[in-house]
Amino acid sequence: MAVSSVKNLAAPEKVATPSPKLARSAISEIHASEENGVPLNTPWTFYLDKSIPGTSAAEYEACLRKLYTVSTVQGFWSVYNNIPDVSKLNSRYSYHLMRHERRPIWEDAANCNGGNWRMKCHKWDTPQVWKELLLAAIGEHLSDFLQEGDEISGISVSIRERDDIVTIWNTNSGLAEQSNILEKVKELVPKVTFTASFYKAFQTHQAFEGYKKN
Amino acid sequence: MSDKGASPQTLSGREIPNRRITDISNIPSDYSTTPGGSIFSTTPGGTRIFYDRAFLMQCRNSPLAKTPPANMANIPGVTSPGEIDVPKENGVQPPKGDKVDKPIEENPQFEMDI
Repeated sequence: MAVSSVKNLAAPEKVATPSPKLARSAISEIHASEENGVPLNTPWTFYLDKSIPGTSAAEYEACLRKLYTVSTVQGFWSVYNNIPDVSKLNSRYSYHLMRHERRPIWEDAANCNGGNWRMKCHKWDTPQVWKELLLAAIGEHLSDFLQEGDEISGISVSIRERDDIVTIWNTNSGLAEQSNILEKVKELVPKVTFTASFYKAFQTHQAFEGYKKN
Repeated sequence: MSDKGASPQTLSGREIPNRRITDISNIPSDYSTTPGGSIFSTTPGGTRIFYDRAFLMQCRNSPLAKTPPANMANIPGVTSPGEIDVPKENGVQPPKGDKVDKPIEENPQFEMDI
């Protein structure tokens, strides 16, 4: 499938030029995620950050680490299975899984008109909620609960002292009101009690620093 | 128009064919490739690829999913052994302070908004 077609495309070029020099990292990337994997609807990128109270967007950016961009189901698991479980993360750390390579930054072009649903859950429920939301996101089951013109752009989990926070990012805050995504979440994790849940548009945050180009 | 008395003919719709993938082996060999060989993941109109939870879970134990990607970012404590210490890039020192958390706020914001 994917790989054989890549070979086909590369073949004519091989005749003209000596061995194409792909960076080692590029090669392993192709091998790891494209070789036998089942393609995802879109690529998704794992990020890690440690949030520090009172930081500006620029300072936050500097603390944000991209872990890996996956484009197949197996690639998704190869990252998920090999990073610490959310239950092992220390307080104030967050994982994000963002569509394509969008960054989990409010002010970025892809996010600045959006917002997120924020749900607070007990620590013992966090790993399950995180996993189920990830699967629903990459399986593209959340999109059905959005309005036309809106899109899921990511899922985050933030570890806190007491209850943790799980968020679902969308791209169009104007359409969030009519969405019934929180009902879908209930369906995904029927036994979980959220101690709070609400939607907030990024631009309504006091700390929002205005539009910004990526 | 002589069929006045005939029972009204109802046109019953047909279900859109739907192929359910329950196992990796169900995936057709040409899945996600055009006949000529280029790769696509969505049709121009924008249909999405859906995966059931069961299928996704099944992939979790595939050999490919067991090892981390070879070129995954090296973050001690996360992708390699060690203590987690994220903010160090570009020499930026995390400022000290206990104001509002950004961009993920601490609980006061939560209580305020509900």
